Amino acid sequence: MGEFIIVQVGQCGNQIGGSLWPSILEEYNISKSDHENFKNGLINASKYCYEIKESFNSFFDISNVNCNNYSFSNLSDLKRNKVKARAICIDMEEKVVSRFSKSDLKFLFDKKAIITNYPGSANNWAEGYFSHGSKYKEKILESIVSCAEGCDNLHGFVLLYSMGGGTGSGLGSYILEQLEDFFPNIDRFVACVYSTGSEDVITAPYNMMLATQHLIEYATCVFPFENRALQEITTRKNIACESKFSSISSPFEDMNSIVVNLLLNITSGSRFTGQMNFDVNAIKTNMVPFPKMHFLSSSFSPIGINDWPTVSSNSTREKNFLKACSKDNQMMTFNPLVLKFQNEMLNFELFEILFADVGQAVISGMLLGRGDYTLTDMRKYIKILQKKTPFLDWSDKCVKMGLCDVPPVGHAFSMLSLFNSSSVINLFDCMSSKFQTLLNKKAHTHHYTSIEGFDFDFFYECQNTVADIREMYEEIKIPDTSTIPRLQPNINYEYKKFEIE
Amino acid sequence: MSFLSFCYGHCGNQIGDVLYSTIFEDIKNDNASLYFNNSLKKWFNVQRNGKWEARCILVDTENKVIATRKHKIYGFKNVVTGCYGSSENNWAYGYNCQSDLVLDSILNMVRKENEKRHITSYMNILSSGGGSGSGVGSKVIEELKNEYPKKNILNAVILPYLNGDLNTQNYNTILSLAKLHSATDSSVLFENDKLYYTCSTKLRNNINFNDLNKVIAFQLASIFQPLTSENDTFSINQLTTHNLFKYLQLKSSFPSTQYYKFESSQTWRNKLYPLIKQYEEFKGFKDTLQLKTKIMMSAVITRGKDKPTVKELEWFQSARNFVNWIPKDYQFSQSHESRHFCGREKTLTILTNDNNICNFLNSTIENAWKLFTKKAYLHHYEKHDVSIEEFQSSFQKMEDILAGYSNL
Ligand SMILES: Nc1nc2c(ncn2[C@@H]2O[C@H](COP(=O)(O)OP(=O)(O)O)[C@@H](O)[C@H]2O)c(=O)[nH]1
Ligand SMILES: Nc1nc2c(ncn2[C@@H]2O[C@H](COP(=O)(O)OP(=O)(O)O)[C@@H](O)[C@H]2O)c(=O)[nH]1
Ligand SMILES: [Mg+2]
Ligand SMILES: [Mg+2]
Repeated sequence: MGEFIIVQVGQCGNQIGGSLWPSILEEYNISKSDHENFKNGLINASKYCYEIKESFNSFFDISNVNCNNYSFSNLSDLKRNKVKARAICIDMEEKVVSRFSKSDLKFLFDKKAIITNYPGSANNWAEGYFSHGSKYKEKILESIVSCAEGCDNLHGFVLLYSMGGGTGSGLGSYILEQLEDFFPNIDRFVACVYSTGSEDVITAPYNMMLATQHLIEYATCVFPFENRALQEITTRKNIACESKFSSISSPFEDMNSIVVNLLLNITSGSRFTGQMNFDVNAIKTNMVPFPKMHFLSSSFSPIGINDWPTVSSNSTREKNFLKACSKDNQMMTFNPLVLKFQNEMLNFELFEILFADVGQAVISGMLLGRGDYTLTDMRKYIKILQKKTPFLDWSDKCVKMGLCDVPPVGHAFSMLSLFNSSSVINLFDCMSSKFQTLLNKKAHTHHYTSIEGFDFDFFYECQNTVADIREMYEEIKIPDTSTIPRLQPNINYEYKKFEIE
Repeated sequence: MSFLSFCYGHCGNQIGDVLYSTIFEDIKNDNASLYFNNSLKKWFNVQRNGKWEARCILVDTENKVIATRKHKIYGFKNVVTGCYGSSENNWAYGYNCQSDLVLDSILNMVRKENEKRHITSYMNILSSGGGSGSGVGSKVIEELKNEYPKKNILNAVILPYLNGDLNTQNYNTILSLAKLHSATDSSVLFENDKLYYTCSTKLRNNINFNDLNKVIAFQLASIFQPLTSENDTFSINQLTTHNLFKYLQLKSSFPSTQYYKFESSQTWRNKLYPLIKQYEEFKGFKDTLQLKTKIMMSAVITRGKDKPTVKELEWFQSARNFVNWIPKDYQFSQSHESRHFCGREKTLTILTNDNNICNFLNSTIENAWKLFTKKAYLHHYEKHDVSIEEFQSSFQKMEDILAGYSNL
């Protein structure tokens, strides 16, 4: 099956990585020790053992395993066979990454793949991008190349970092750019955390704008996570993630587990079999109708314990689909199901309230049903979306469906949804206005300009790049009624003659 | 008569699997009858150790479907998959890039199969909406035609749901249908919408792709399984002699539609009636034009006890639903095989070259044209060397075909 290389950069990136790897192991049904009897994995273990085994190489390098008929059931099996995670862990401070080396999973990470420095990037994008970028370029590329060489069929890089700090944001941008240069044909997916809602870093608006500029230019697809959205979901739902492995723990643990589950869902189509393909590589073809407009709102269900349906029936599956498409489950501000069904529009007032929300336009959508979902379910949901989602005249047929046989651990089914919509403008605007306020006062700019390589004009450049893409998303909302007539047929109507050959 | 089949992409391979098991189920308990032998020869190579091997080349750019094929009494030896990753639902990527990786090994296998025995027909199974089947498939089929211009090449093409199952399906469909139309003589088209409808009238529960695939496999097998009576030389090319009209559609008495309850009274008339009804109820639209079924050519294949009488098939003699510029003799042919098919007492399949495909063609062109004029998704195709001009000429071709069918 296709392989992925996870590149985790900075504190946030590595903390997310810190919950990603234990979850991956759980998905592959690895237990901590020989004697443990697994409870969660049980459903998956017996039913999907073939699929699970076949796709183990997606996240792990098993080239050191020297028999064909391997099977891994616990950590010591992995250790014995020198299994390595396809991960590159980069942080410019030791704090987080060093926690890996104290965890149960320490042996999974190759020494070469861990790159650290002291004393961090001071929440300064320029320091991450210029100072650390130039200093660590060789080392980082070397470890990425060696990791890529261990892949037969590299499907993509998955980059994890926060936009608001210095290391993830700056060095992450730098790595993204390098990847485009060195691996132009390999997709680059970025799962990035926007600090909206957690204004704990004063210079975050600068860092976010500069890093966003790089996402626009160099990423294949971006899955933005607003910390505000993650916080809201964790307070609303009981996430209560607990892992059997000791790994990195952080106050963000519950929030990060949402990011992690989303990543597992997105990559599931490439790792497991299904009646209808959903390859991550197809995400860009389906979701990005115009170059650079690749910011996707994502969501899935079930998320928290409260959401867990007990039985699988047509109605529980449909409820779960509606949740996956509700605004409560979105990783950024967006409401996919705005329009109500006709018969629910009892009066005009209600009608107007509902349409007040429609300041958004959806240019593409994607649904992935995992586990028990059937074709009948999916056809029905696509109809629902086409009624309730503000697609444009030309985009209303642009819904991709996928079916994946293997559900997430412990569930009978789950639904992932992706949308490309103009609501990303909210994110750009929120970020730009804070950026503008800071820049007007020239607050903290000397920290940036004092870094070798950084020019003050970079502030204006990133502002323009973000403004341009914002404009593109704005333009699609304008209804365009001009139509170009179809081509005239060009045939000779004397064809109505019968000739026997 | 020997077939070499090709399954392309995710869809093609899923269907190929069901097709072969349908054929296998049909003949497995037979005692070396003529039917059995002909069928075996047609679809399988028998190896020295007595093991059967499907005469079939499986082509995919990723190995997910093929890898999970844990078999069975018969095997699939000819497998061309790279683990190259999917064709990204992009016809251009499949046609211009991924095909390079598999073309040589496919052509080699074809050469070897041709050395083993005289092969009369190549059958290609693919979906038009994706990237691998549609893109890689188009390329390989063109090459087959180049290398074997005299061979009989036919395609079974699965058409996507009209209201969308992937975002670039209409581009992929237009590009692949245009290529196949130039390269080959006959394509049997299966609309997923119609298959789904057929299943939904029969199965009350949830439907999956496998249910659709069973219908496709049943219909294909019912026309391609042997006809053992001596004067039956049915070939589907009889129905596509005109070089504009190359599309065929199948209707068959199983799985039965809502008339399932009549199945107990096993008469040909009862089998035929619901199928004819579909032709008569067809309503087509093209601009202001309202269309009723017009059939150019048709064939009826019956399998089971008692050949249907002329009277029972008299609908095919009525002028109302047939074009008037083709001599009657050529518009209808009938073939019968007295052996039961798939354990059913009577099976009836109608194969027609008719205008019922207009609605699909019209909507697909319309939806693709909307995206095209907005320039949506074009950069993915231009990246892999499919130019605006190529799009335009494919649109032109499809408009021509549509105009032809809607003016029958
Ligand atoms: N969701 C989430 N956000 C985080 C996490 N760690 C830090 N952040 C946010 O990321 C921003 C700081 O970036 P950080 O990753 O610490 O900086 P870096 O180490 O220099 O890349 C702040 O806005 C934090 O709220 C985390 O584990 N999860
Ligand atoms: N009838 C049927 N249609 C399918 C099946 N699998 C996929 N499709 C259709 O095929 C199209 C997608 O193409 P697919 O074969 O998955 O892509 P490829 O692997 O890139 O060729 C869509 O229109 C699907 O509706 C199947 O098993 N049966
Ligand atoms: Mg840090
Ligand atoms: Mg920090």
